[in-house]
Amino acid sequence: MMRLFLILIVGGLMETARSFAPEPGLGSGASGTALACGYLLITAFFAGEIFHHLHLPKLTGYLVTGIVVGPQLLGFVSNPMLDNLEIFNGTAIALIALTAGVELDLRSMRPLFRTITWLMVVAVLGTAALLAIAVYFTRNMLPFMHGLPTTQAIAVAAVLGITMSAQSPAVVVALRSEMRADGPLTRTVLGVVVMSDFVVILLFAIASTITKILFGVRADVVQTASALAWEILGSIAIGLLAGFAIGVYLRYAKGSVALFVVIVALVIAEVGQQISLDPLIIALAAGMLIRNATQSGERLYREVEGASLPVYVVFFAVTGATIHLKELSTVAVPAVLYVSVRAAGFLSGSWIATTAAGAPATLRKFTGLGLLPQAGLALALALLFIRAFPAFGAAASALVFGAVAINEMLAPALYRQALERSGEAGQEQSRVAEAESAEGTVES
Amino acid sequence: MAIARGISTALILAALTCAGGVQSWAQPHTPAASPAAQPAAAQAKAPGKMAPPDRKGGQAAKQAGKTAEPTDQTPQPGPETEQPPQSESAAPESNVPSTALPNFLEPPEVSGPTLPEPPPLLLAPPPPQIKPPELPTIVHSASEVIRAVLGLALLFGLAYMASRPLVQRIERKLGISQLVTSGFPFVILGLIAHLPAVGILSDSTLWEIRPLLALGLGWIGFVVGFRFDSRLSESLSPGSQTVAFVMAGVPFLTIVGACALVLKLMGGSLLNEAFLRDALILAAAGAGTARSVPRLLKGRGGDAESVQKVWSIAQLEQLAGIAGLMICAAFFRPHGATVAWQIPGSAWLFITLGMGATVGVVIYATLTKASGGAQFSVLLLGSVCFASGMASFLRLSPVVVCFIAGVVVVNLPGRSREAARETLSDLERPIYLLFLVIAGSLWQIGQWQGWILLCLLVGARLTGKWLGAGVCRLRHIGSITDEERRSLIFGPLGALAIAVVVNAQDLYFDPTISWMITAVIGGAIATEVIVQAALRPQENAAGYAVGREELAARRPTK
Repeated sequence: MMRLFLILIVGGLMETARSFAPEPGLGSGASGTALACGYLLITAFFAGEIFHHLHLPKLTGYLVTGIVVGPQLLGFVSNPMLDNLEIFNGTAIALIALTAGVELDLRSMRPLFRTITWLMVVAVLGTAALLAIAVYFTRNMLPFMHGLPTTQAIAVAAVLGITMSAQSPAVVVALRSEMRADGPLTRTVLGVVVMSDFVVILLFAIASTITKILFGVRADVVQTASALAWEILGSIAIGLLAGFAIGVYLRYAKGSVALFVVIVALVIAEVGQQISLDPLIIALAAGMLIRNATQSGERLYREVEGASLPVYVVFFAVTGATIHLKELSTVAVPAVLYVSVRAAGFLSGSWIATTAAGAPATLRKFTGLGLLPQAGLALALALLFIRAFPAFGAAASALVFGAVAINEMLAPALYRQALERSGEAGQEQSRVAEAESAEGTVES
Repeated sequence: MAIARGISTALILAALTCAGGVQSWAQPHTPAASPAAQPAAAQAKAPGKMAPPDRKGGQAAKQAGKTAEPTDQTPQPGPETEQPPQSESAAPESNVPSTALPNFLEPPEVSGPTLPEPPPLLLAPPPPQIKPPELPTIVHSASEVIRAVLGLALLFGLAYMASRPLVQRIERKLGISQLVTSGFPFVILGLIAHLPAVGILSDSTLWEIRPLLALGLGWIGFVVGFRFDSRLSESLSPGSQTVAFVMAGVPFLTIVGACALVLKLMGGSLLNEAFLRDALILAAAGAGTARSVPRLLKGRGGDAESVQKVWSIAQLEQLAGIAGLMICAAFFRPHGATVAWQIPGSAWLFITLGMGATVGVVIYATLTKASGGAQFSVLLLGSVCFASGMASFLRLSPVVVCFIAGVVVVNLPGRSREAARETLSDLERPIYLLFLVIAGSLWQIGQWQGWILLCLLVGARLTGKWLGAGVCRLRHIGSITDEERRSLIFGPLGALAIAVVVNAQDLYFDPTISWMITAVIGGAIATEVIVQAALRPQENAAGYAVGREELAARRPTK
């Protein structure tokens, strides 16, 4: 109750600030950005706590806060403010990827490789194919596909299917962190969403290039291939270098290194973006190197966890504020349809894959729910889609935005339930205690 | 929405009712005239100002994956809207000219033909003719962005490293602890980073990171306010308050007096608005003393009681800076501000107090809900960011509003206070050093007017401190010893002084503010270096003595 009261009080102060402005809406300058940042931090944090008490994920609380206070509803946080707060997005993604990388202990994951491979083939690629087929056969519902010849319609459906099959490592890592979950389900889901990130980027590049050619747009295949190679291989190489540097620092620095990690994430995000590298892959590679080649993995994990809360809170609140509610209202029917197809694809595909791999019952039952969350990657691909196909990209991306909006709201709650019911929630503490006792043994 | 509106109205009314004059000025949309109608663009493009990227640059920045202000207008000190700012005189419904200034500053009404408005008189000789606005350099290429990001990361890393215990131990060993503790190397780093050849903190980068400046100012204010707790009141010896009042008040007056003298010699009017404002800001910055003074006294062999006394006096002196800044922000509203509220300065004063108190209570209530270190960091960071952003948005001082909030939080009961203190101490130094880097980048070292003001400030301050100490001795106030008196006279300017002028630059876009930045930063460095040079031999001797005592204490007794 007190938290709700505080949210209302802070909202009242924001409304006061808004009444000071002569024009409707708050501004984009420095004070507006600081105001919005502070407001989102406080409000989203408390909303997350309230949602936690309601047995819902905190991050859903952050997202809902963003939606409510964002430009589409209350308007306390305006579009220019959101633009300025985008700096949090890159940093948050890099931190999340660093956490994901540190989580990927190849030795402990080795028994899961078979299951992950099956999941990649059946669940991820299968769902992408299923979505493409669904788009193709329901193209009459989509005005931008009217009148397209069959080959072109197939190509566009394939691109949309791949885009809508993208998952969200950010949500998976944030939920794992929030629930302090650990175990086969957590690790398998993490492994799959990370791997599928690579695969979806690769497939999207191939499919969109082919589609461009089919539409008569001049597409340089060699250039696309080299750009893709630079983005993936270059990111891995730079990530390994960054991981080496972080590892050396962690080896010699005593005390808290949280601020250092945040600075590294900021640099990875900002510089990586400038040189056409993927910050997510860079940070992921760095984290994996530290986990698998040094003794500092657990320490880095704890430091990132401690430092990342403010960044996560603002990141998810900003994400919520940028959810395209208007688009959702216009493409509601097809979006709900494709969300259902996607869910069906992941749930059935996961069941088939885990059964084929001989995975335990927990994995068979719950893995599909871990693949449902969707966020940043799908949105990024949708934006690329607009750029690649200006004629109909905007209409097609509205569909993706609508589907992502639904998945953002529902999927985290489902995965949270899966973690609780699988018994993996809260298991991380015992792992940390084991690691700490092991460190203590080594030191003594 | 209705609830939010209701609460906000209630809060504001509660704050304003304190003023006891709601009916007299609570009239929204009452226009105000802008007395000095300087072209806003020319004002904002004064040297050292952070201006937004132009339209073309905005596009370039967007191409580079960045968003930029889609306006080619210069920044205005009004609430930030997407619309190009207008002058108050151009605001709608501006049939009746009025002013946001208090009545005693209004020029008398002149009957007959309207006389041309005289140009504003400033503290120093009039500024050179300002060229048409040169738009700031925009970060065009990826290499420039990378350089800026890496440079900023390096500066941040240095600030972080400097706050590490190991580095501080090395500084102490090298005997440069005090100078580095004061953070001035970071001011120099900021100055270097702003050089066009280096290009790390270019004008456009500074514009992008301005939210950090608001946060830094708010943080400094909050930290200063957080020290006004029961420990301070318990440590006050009889007469300390009076000593602090005299030791801050007399320099305040001497600085204003010195400025007045200079202005009079130039034939200006003492009631000129710009002069009064600038003199008050300079006096607010120059009246206080750095927190390092007690350490200096300790270095000179002062006993614990003296150190405690000087510490408490130096703390109280900081109120002069806060009060001066609060009065300036309330009574000297920025020109050209596009505002919906047109109310008198006294009302802004009470809004400042009400806002600080309200935000303080909210922060206190917020912190009681935090249960761990990370949660404290989130909520404290969010609260200070919110308070400073709101103050800056209303064109009030983030330093003052956060100071009041800090005082409120630290004096309310509860265990969250200690946790907040711990979080503040963890983050204080990196944020402070980063703030100094940005302050250094605002420093226009080439402006001769600033150096003249520096001499005026340092001279008037020393004279004022000396006179204040003389008054205390003659009137037997506070029974301070010669050593304590010397420390208070020669104590350097502190971080709050720099925060005062940087905050003033955030409020007002006049060229004189950048001269004052030169004066205050230069003055702070000069006083620090002089004090260090004068005290080092004795300090080292005292340090050796302390070291010998410590060693002797550690030796096992036989």
